Amino acid sequence: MAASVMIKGTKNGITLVLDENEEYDVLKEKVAKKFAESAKFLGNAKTALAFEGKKLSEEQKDEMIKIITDNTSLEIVCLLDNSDEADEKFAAALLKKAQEAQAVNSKIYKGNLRSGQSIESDNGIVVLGDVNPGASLISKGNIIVLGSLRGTAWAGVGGNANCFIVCSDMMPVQIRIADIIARSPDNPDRSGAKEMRIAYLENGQICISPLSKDIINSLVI
Amino acid sequence: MGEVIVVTSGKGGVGKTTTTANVGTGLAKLDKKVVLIDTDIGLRNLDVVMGLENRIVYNLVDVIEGNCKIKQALIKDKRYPNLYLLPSAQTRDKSAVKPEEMKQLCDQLKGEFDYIIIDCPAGIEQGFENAVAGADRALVVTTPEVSAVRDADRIIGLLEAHEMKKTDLIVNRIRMDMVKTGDMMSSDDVVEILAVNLIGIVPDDEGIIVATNNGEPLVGNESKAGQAYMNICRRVTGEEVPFLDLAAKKGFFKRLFGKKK
Repeated sequence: MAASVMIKGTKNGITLVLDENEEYDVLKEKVAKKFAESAKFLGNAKTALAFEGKKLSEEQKDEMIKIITDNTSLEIVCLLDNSDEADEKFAAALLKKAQEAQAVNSKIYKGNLRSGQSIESDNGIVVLGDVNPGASLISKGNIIVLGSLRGTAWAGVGGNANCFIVCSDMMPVQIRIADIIARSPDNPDRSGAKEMRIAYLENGQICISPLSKDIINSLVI
Repeated sequence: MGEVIVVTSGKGGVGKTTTTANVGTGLAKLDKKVVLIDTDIGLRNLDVVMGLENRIVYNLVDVIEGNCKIKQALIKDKRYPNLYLLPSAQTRDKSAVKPEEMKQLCDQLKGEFDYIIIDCPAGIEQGFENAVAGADRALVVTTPEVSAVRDADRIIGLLEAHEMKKTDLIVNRIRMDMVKTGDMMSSDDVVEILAVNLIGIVPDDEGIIVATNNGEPLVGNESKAGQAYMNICRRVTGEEVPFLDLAAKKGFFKRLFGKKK
């Protein structure tokens, strides 16, 4: 006899499989028990959830989510129909959520970052000051420097190609976005005036351009 | 089998890094396969002097800790394809590397390169111990000042204690006009105190500052310093090269206009 409640892990989230022939109240209890048992294994991840099997009303789905969050440390960030493109949607939804969190939780550093100093963060980094040669900024999110960037900046560590680097004077030794590396020219041209510039990935290459309205509108945050 | 040469001085600011860059580049010019290793962890400079700072992805500490392969960390020079740099880490300190690990690294590189040149940090602590651990011979750099000579003497003593097979001396930043007036020690005076083999005398040259700022070693160019460094390289390879006449008279016009300075 197959269990009437099953938890399936997919690449990007959890699918809850419910027996169509079982009463809703019975399922509720079983779901609570099942998740309580596996709470430790599931940990405290942020995840997406999909239902399979028995049709549930919106209220019943909400109730199920409450049962899950009550019995585990999981955080259900979004709910999805289990369709063919579910996996893709899971991924997109999670990435968007992660990016939002990275932007909101950005680390703010006040002062100049000197040679040998470095800031590492799972979220975005904002520096109110200069970043000198030999200093480095390493972020899973975006990097913003309100000052001169003369050191090394690495945005989107872990592979997020939507990340960008903005600074009021772009003179870096080296820039990395996701896994692409760009180095400064060997004979830098210092004739241009200081202006707000942005570095972003386009077609697998790092582009640097003035921070125009069009570019701001095209950013994914 | 390659030869590991450590460039050291004890005192800071006498020209270890400049010497490493110029001797390394000069040996590459002589068609030797050369790798430069910066062991000044936390205060790296050699990459800047070589003009290769923007190419650094991995460094010495990454290699030692096994985060990457040696090949991945070696930066190919922009002028000479047979010259490589293994840069130091900037966000760590000297304790990130142990002498035994440096020795192992040098032994590995010996199979691949003709010369492994190690830029030693100032001081006689862990950084010095790391730098000399794998070395077969040493180039001691000093300037003709009592403080630098005193530190060079201390370093030569430590090198003897490490049973360094060969130790040669480079007298750097000498000014013949001051030597002539008796305001500066001559290279002979320095050698008399230190009693080691003199392998080169490099005159003080404004060109060095320009070369450092541009990230392009001046070895081999027509300046006196460039020639002096090239001669050191040839002596390192075992060639007999007479010392330059640094006191040679300037041409008539140079004498005429040079005095205005």
